[in-house]
Amino acid sequence: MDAVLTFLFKYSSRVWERGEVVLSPVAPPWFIAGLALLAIAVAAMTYHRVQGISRMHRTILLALRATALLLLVACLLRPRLVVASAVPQRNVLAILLDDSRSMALNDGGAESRAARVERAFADSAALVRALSDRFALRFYRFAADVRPAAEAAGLRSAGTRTDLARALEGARQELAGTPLAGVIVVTDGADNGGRDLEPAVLALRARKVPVHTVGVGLERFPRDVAIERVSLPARPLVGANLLADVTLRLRGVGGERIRLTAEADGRVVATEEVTLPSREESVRVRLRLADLAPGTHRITVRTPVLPRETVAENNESHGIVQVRGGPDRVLYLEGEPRAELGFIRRAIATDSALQLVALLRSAERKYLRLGVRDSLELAGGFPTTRQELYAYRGVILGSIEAAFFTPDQLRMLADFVNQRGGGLLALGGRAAFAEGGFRGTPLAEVMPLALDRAPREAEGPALELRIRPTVAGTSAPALQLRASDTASARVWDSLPPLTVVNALGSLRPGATAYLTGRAEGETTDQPVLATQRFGRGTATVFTAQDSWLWKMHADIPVEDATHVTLWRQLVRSLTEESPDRVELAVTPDRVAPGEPVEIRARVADEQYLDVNDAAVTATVRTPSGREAEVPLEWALTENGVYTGRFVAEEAGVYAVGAESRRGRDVAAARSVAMLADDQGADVEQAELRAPLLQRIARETGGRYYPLAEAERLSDDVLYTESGVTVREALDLWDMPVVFLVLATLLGVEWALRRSRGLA
Amino acid sequence: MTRITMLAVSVAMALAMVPVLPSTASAQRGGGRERFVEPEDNPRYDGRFTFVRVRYEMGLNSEFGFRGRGGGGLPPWAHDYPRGERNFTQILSELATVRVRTRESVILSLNDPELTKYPVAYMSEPGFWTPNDAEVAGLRAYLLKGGFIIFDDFRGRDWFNLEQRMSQVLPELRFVQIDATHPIFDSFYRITNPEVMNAYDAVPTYWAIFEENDPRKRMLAIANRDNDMSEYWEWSGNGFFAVDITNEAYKIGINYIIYALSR
Repeated sequence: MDAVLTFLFKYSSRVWERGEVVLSPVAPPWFIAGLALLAIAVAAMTYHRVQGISRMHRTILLALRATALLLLVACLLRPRLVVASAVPQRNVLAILLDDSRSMALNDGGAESRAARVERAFADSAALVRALSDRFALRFYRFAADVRPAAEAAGLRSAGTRTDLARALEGARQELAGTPLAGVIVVTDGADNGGRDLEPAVLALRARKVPVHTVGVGLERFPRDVAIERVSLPARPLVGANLLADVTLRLRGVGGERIRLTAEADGRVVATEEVTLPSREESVRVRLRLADLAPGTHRITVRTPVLPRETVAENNESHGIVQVRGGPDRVLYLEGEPRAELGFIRRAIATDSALQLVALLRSAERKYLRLGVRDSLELAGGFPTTRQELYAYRGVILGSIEAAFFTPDQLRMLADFVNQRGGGLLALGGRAAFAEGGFRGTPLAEVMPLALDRAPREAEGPALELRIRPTVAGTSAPALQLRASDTASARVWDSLPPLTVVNALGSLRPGATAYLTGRAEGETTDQPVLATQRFGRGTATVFTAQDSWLWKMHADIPVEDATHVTLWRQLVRSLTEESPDRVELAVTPDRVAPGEPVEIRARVADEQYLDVNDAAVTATVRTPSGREAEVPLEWALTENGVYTGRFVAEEAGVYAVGAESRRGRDVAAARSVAMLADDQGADVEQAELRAPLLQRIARETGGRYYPLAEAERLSDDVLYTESGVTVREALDLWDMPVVFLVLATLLGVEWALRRSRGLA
Repeated sequence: MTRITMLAVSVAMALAMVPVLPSTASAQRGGGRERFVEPEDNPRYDGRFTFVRVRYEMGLNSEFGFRGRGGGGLPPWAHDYPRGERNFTQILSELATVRVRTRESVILSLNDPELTKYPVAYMSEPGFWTPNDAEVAGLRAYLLKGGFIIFDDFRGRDWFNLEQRMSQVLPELRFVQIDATHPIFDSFYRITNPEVMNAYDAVPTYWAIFEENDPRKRMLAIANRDNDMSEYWEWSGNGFFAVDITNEAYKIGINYIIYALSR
């Protein structure tokens, strides 16, 4: 179709799109206008005297003749198409070839994607020969980074990521001083670099550099199971409920059964039989991993290759879990001796990774300290300095009234969440929430429940609530009471009611309720466990006053571990995201050997205020045990953030640590791990993403081609406004379509005349 | 003002405020010959600390002979009821931050499911206690899940009955004698000489049952052997006992409660 249109209109649609139609009359306009009038007059006179035909036929014949004559007269206006095109051999054309692992897939023929690209862009290929006649070609290979290449041959398909943004940006910068006429990107579009494409595309668009995209591979696999994403807990505490959320992408495999396996360092730690749904194209499976010892573990999730599966490489995914040894220290302040304290202490005592330090106000200005590290800890009661309070990763407030605290202590508690990023848990009780006078205090803002209800009577009856998880609670790791979701749901259904003595306000916008309770005869639920992020930390409320009944109640068997499990997990969830003073992250946490890695440290002082004048050094330990120091520089744009880069040359697990020095204040970060290997990655979403490539082309004035049609590039790339160009005016009067229309008009006129006996 | 003086003053003040003693409780000190007061209905559970007295049936005890209701018709499990708990809970509420019911208490048998809503229980005169299978199972579950029981008001050979009954309840555990160095005597007041009381003209001793028989682990039960703390509580308002000894009884009782609720 495109070829027919090009024949009729003399030039390809690409030229038409980029060009501008102008008129260059061969004679003065008044003369041409006169000719046009004359043409109409001639036509009118021709048919004026003809007899024996109807009025309608006369009009049609007249119109046909007049149109044909006017078309001829219009040619005298000499319409032309003005278009900019590259001056031959004066411009550079960048050809970016995807060299990531997904290009090694063989999904649509006898050869891999890379082999097909090599063939299409080989020096001897017609396309490359045609292009090199007109342009100086610059080849680049890209994956996580972009590197110059001599030619298309020799693609290794080894990169773990496809970073399209970096590739476009890199090529533009490298060719900044050259007359760049255009960029050709040959890729499957599996961009997983995690970067925003927009800035790179806009920069090219600003220079009017068209980006032509060539898509490789199938847009939809006929039969495939892909492990698209495995979400692992970032740095769980030892003994935590390790849940791996696995997203499978399904193509033509509905109704089949697969076995999903997770391995930690080669040891199977979870298996799950999954029946694949027929209607959905994606399914989420949750794997519960067996306990892992403190340290770094390489997790592999895989599913066996099905018969006739299009791509086998995406049936496996790798990740890293760094299990923290702890112990995490949590401060529990209780205002009155009550069973909740004793039972929570007993539950947490079974967890060696947690240390619950309890401060019980047993009388006015009298404290019982339990679980303290030494005789000095909390000797003066509740912490009065941020330094002392921020040493804990989590704080639990029992039934203790606001008046117990000084205004500064209340502000400190709010800052503990907001600034330090700690986890705060407020328990229900007769001196908690609105009943404890917290309304209007800095802590009220932190709470996930608004304290907007009138307080209840101090010695009034307790309201019994039957408690169940919400939809969010069903999948919350802290509320998994048994090994499977169904077993866990059964336990929740069987638990006896608890009581509340507080007037519970509404859930704040942005807060999430995980447990709700309903009183007998009521139709609405009240929040029981709710959380909201506040600043860097989280605030949680557990509004029941007697969760210990889930241990003691007559319906609960002696050996039942529900209460212990729940509290261990709840307290762990408090501390899980609580940051250290120096927090370290490497992005990405998985690369191919030879790829760059960014180290990012967030540094705070003892009061967790961002620090911009520290000397921060990262230490990278390679898999072979060699240590290298990487100085980190303040990022300028963000307070307290320092960044640096290194290249992971060796394969294996890297450990990255960091130390911050500021005068005599030295703080070290917990080390983080990163994996460099040659397997997996970048194949999780390996189907050709044509829409993305089409968008890039459209936004930059380029065009998208499937690889099979890439030869058409050779003509299209010529027309560009970037680089050294010349403006050409192309005549349109001799377009075949003009003659075709003329012939048609005259032919129809003749046929009509003949049918009416006039010819 | 020392804490002890404060306590004595508090006792006096508290007792002056206690209006709840039933008028029928005409009583005579010594030998538990009070007139039996019909217990009130148990209040509804509301989460506050509530004194729980264990009620038990007595059978024919071959070793101790049949000792039924005393002359006043008061069964051994009810000795000192209700003055003992009323006075004690009043003092507890005055001196500690425990949110406590002062005008009501609960009476429950060991196999009553309601018992599990109260983490601390009190049993008087365990020398008369001859539990049936349901009570044995009830107490066993109660203690293993996290409950705490105080045995009080018994002397001499009553101990052997208690020891034997508890060996039925928790055959794997045994009583271990504790002294003033145990944390229970330092959970609120620092009690250096718990033996100072002499309710039965004998030096009292304290015996406890611990998880895995390890005194460093959780305490499940404590027995005031040759002692009667609730007797001191009951009569603290009328001068039968010296104030300082009464104070010790209150102090130990408060320590027990704080300890049981926090450990």
